[in-house]
Amino acid sequence: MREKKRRLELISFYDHTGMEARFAQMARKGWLIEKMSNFLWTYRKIEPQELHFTVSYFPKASEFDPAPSQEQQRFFDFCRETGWQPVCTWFQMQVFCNAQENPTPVNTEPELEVEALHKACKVSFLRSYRILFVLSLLLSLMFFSSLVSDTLRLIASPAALTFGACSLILLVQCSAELLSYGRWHKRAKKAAQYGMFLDTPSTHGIQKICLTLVVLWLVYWLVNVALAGNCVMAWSALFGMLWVTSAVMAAGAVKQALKKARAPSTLNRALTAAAAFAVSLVLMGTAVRVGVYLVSDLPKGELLFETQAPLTLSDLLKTGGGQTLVTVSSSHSLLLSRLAVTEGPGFGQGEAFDLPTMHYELYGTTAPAVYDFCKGQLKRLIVLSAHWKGAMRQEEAAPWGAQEAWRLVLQDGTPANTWLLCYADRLVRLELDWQPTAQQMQCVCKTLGDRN
Amino acid sequence: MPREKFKTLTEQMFYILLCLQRECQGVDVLELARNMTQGRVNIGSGTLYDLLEQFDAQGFIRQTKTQGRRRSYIITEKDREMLEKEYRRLLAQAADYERVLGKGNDT
Repeated sequence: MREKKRRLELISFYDHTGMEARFAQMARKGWLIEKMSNFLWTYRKIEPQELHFTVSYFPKASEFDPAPSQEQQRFFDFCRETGWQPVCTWFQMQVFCNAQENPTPVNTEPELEVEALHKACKVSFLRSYRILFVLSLLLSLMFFSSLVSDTLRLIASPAALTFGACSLILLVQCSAELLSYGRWHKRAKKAAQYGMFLDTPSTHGIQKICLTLVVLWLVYWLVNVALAGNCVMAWSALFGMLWVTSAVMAAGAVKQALKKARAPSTLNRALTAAAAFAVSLVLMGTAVRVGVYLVSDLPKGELLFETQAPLTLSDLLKTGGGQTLVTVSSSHSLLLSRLAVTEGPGFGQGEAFDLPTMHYELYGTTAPAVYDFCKGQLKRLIVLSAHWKGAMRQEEAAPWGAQEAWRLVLQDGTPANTWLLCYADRLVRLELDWQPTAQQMQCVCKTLGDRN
Repeated sequence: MPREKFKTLTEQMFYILLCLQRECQGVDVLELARNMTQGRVNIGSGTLYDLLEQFDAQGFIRQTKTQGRRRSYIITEKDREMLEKEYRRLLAQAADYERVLGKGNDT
């Protein structure tokens, strides 16, 4: 029979009422809390029994302390006098249990309890959640901005969509925690003036929903990588997970090792942060080194990841000379694939404004609903690119070999050299800085149009 | 309106300071207060720890000796004055009660 059990407990740092109830419930089932951490809490096997628990907050304690300080030990001595045995500590939290039937609580002055809890929260919980809130707010705003101005790129990129969605979920989580604590603290201070204790609120429901959504998004990302991705996506996903896991594990290992070696908490904190940074730096350097090695080993002209531009300026203009710069980006998801190519004058080209430029985006999908959605979005995005000072006008599709052809027309009636070409299973957004000839339109159809 | 800290004393604060009229170890206050009040006042061990720290910081009590982790305290003159003030306030409250509801019941 196993002696230890590990559980993911979705209980907030300040929710001592919830923790005490959970520990008592577990003790009735024969499990005593042994160790708490950011991920899993460890319980050890005991005889099932009725135990009372108290979670007390000691603001001066730190997760980096090698052992409970002298002051904490004094606090433990006081608690032992009334039958409260220290069970475990975590950050500023101290957990005690008492086997007596009606023990005198550890805290009998509500004002002091609220004060100690708030001081502990200011040291850890509030500081980290405020930083996370600001970060997630910025990321969410960027995500919304991309959702409005670059919708299709997001849908075609499972990583970008997952990251954006998770930023949003993190924002909701942080907001819920900060609001919940803020409301409770205000009410608890008022109640304490009248000598009343106020139970701490639980955000278990919201935490569970957020965690479920994050897991679903990660599954979505991994499924897309497995089924629709290329080796770049697969390696990027793997590398990303390795990076995060390594940094967290390195930080945890260094922290525990220094605690065992009784290093002072300030030194432990500094070295733990340095370890996480160093591991991240090494992994980043390794990735760059590997990338450089792979690229330098390729024969000239060959691309590393098979993403070549299907249509180039030389195809259209039949020009042989001149160095142009081609940038290609591609992304794939189960819903949509996207290829974006920009070609223009290379670096060091004199009289660059005389040289032609071209930009096109190719969207492929097999789902009719997604196709229609993409078509609508592309029309909107093209008009958005002209700062809403234009409209899309349908034109003859036959020269392009397409089913539909749309052109951007500016407010003053001038047609822009921006088209939306609708083929059977793909959409093409094409931007040129010249009016193409019929021959060039046929070339576009041949290279970017329907496969069949 | 929030009560200014230590301007008036809660029951537990009052009895902690009362127990420290004579020098004693901090932890012993738990038993002393319980005996003094025939079990009516039970001070939490965590509350006692916090209040001793705060009283010491405010100068209401002072440490007299340290034996390992155990510290002994005694009240200071500042505390005697505050206790006296609190006692007078409680007497005044009791007197008001008797005047309105007690012996003067013929109102």
